[in-house]
Amino acid sequence: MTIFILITVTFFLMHAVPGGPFSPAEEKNVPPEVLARIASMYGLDKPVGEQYILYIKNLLHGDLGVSYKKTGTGVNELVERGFPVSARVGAWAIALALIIGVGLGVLSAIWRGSPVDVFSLILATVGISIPMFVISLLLLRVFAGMLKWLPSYGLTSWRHYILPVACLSFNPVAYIARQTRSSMLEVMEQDYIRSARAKGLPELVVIVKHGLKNAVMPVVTYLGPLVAGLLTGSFVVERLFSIPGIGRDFVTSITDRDYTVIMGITIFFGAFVVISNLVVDILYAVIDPKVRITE
Amino acid sequence: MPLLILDDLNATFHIAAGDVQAVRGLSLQLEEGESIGIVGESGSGKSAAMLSVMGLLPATCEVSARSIVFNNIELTRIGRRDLRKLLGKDIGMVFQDPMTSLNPLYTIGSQLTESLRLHLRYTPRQARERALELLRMVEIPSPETRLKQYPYELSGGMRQRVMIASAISCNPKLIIADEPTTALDVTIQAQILDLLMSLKQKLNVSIVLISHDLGVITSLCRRILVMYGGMMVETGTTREVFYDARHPYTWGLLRSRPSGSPQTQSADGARGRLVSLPGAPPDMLHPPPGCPFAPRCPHAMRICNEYIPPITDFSSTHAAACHLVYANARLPKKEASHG
Ligand SMILES: Nc1ncnc2c1ncn2[C@@H]1O[C@H](COP(=O)(O)OP(=O)(O)O)[C@@H](O)[C@H]1O
Ligand SMILES: [Mg+2]
Repeated sequence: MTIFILITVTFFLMHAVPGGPFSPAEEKNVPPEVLARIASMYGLDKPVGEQYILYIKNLLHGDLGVSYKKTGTGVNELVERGFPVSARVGAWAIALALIIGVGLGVLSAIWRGSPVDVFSLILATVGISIPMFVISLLLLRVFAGMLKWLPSYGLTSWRHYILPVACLSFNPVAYIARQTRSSMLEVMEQDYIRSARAKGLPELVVIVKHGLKNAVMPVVTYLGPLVAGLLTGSFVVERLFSIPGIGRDFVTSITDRDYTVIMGITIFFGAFVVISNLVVDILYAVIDPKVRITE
Repeated sequence: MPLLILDDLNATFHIAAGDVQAVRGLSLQLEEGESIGIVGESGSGKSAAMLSVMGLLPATCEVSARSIVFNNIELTRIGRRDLRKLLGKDIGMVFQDPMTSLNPLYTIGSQLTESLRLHLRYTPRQARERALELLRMVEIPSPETRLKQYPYELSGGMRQRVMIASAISCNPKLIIADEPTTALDVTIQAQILDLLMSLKQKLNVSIVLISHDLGVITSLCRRILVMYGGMMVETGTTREVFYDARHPYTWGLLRSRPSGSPQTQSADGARGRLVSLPGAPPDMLHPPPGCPFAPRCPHAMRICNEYIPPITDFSSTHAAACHLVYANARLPKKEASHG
């Protein structure tokens, strides 16, 4: 349902913007008759309502149409090619964000006021207040430009992954670390933590088994949008590092007015958000027995 | 050799506003199989005293003592690792609020078997068997089902029974029960106290029972220690405290009860609030230089506001810290013997 609304709104908004994939204003050196012929070939001369119904019909068969600009390339094909690339970079970024974010958060909670805590506070302030493209440009400039330690574009070796993954995970690390810290501080004050200690359990077991599992809920909540956002590729980072992912295709398709590609990727994103929220709900139930019952 | 000896125990919370002197110079001895009740208004340092024995106070609290001996082990000289070997094994603890003392994310079975697996190295199977046995001991019906349930599926009374089962799981020598019935309904209170009583006899375990309610304590303990402002003000057998109380604070406690006899059981004890004494307990950030009770004491003399009263013994078991009963009050600095 959510996806259906998304499709409809995107479709009409897209057509409401003046100009089209084959508008005479942009293609100055092609005769208008030719443009008109191409447009009718793709059914673009029909009324918008009719185009919409046709699109939905194809969509129900799993067909996202063909790209207007990349001649002969199906949108399905485009997604199938771009998504794995984006997802690979995104998955690394998520893993990194979780490990470092949760780790830093826990350490700064149990060693409150220690150098680790101060470091994580600084990192978090920087990470939350500076937008990703600034951080990306900065890292790119320092590590690829000035120091020349790491390659600046493409994705051909593991070293190519380092910079984009670092850029993608920077903000999430900051957010997760803060979130983990504050909920961990709260949880470690709880009576059941004292009960666990009174059993003589080693501190590590108390912190991880009894503390962290209770403190991790807010992070799980954040995981839904995070996973959807990172796996489907980041427009900025993919553009910047010339990564042939789905995010870069999306940016190109918008400037090109490549309707079917815009639609296709939007639908894909939408479906992905819905699915990752579902996964988060399942995760909730796995962690919290109370949620399990109310489902 | 007593099971537990506290000698000159002090516990101070260092907080931003200053130092909260939660426990000041507390001493007590407990024989094996014996039970003692610690009574006093909320904030008098009862919990802090017992938590400091177990090393469970936050790092902001500084604990010092001339000596803390448990089961012939000097606790002030062992590390955290060795202390942990005693916790949950030789010392079991039951806390005040059963609603928050169990981890909401783990089953009763999982939480009940933790100590067994850790200290006695039970296999999951053995631990499960033992957990079932424990649940039967604390009179929880259909234990098989309960093992698989989560804390939110149990009532407060049931959860407190689970906490007790967990405390006795490794056959401890000592149970510290910190206001185990305060958070419960009056009828459930009586049941929990009955349970503790029968377990005490069955297992021959020592109990330190903390309560602000004298009624709760008399039902379970033969000895009582009255605390006020972080200090012991009177101690004695239940008979001595009820029929021959020497400290004005103890008198106040007894008067504030609906019926001042040791036969009064816990059911009506809940109403016997200590707060019916006029005045408020001292601010432990700035405790009075003399007797902590002096500002509220109807019999206070000038000396009470200036010097902390020494401890006077009346029998081998009965003692009080009050200038009124200090026979040699005019002789300066005579070392008082401890009770
Ligand atoms: N975590 C803490 N930080 C600061 N002060 C505390 C803390 N816990 C207890 N106190 C103080 O220590 C004193 C004794 O508290 P407590 O032992 O809990 O009393 P009781 O158990 O007799 O009610 C009180 O004045 C209380 O305010
Ligand atoms: Mg208390």
